[in-house]
Amino acid sequence: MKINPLVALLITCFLVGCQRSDIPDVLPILGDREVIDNDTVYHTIPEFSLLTQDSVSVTNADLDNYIYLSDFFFSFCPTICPKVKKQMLRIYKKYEDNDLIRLVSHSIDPKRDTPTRLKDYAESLNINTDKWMFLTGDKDELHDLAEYYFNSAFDDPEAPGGFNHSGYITLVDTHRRIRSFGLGTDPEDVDKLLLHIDVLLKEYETH
Amino acid sequence: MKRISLILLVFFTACDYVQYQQGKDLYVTHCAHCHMEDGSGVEDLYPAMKDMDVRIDELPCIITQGINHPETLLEMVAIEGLSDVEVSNISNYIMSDMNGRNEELTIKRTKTLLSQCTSQ
Repeated sequence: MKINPLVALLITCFLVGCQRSDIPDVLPILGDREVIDNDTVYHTIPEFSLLTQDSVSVTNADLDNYIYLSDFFFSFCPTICPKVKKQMLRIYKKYEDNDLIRLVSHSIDPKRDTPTRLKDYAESLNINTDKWMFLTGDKDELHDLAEYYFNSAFDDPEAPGGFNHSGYITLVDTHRRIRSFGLGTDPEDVDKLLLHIDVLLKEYETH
Repeated sequence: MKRISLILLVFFTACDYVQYQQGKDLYVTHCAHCHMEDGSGVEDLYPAMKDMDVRIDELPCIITQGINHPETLLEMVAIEGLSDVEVSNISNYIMSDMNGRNEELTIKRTKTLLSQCTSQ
């Protein structure tokens, strides 16, 4: 059979075009970096001290052995939060049996989102809080922390519910470094994030 | 007659036919934030609209007055500013297009139901 070169070219273009070029072999380390004494210092999540839905204190150290996904929300949020939660739930279900992975949801409205309320919230989501924790604490600390996770959160009396915030889900490695993020309101962007989580997990399989 | 039904079936299936287009548009604007565009909801936080055990007669008052059950964490706020026609279209979209239930509210019936809402 003789193949028309044009057809061959088109098939090649089609196959190459179909390849997912946005999935790297190794995830980059994201954020600002600087070189100090010939060492590269990466953007990391700073020290924090917050309370869980069970009123238990949590710091970075409690997460150092895990890859975790982080988001910022508040329970009274009438806008983007339900969609982000739906995507967090998707991630939770996919990695429910993978003990290396945790999920961390931070409230940006700690005055109303007390530990008790967050506990009820988690129960309504039918999830295991050993794997997916809900954090509250000092409002300024939470709002500052959001920036480190590539999110923004601030008081805005004009905004529905009283806060303005973004809906990124951030992927953090065991060295407190951000390796990927996805827009929690966009299921297709979260498809990409799920593939990135698998790439990051490979780093831990080989070490 | 059989042939016409078949043609109609193919036509509706092919076009992803929505019987209540205005109801769908209003649902996307007012309800999909929490109940999701496909009606799947989020666990017990935001109830699913698909396969729910609510009667169509209950929908108009829920839509226009909201719900605040003491046993649920989150309150559903009232959707304000809807006309009776819009309320019946949202209700019919949820029941017919989303749940495939053969129930429909006429505008007259919706008006009657709305006049009987027990305010909270």
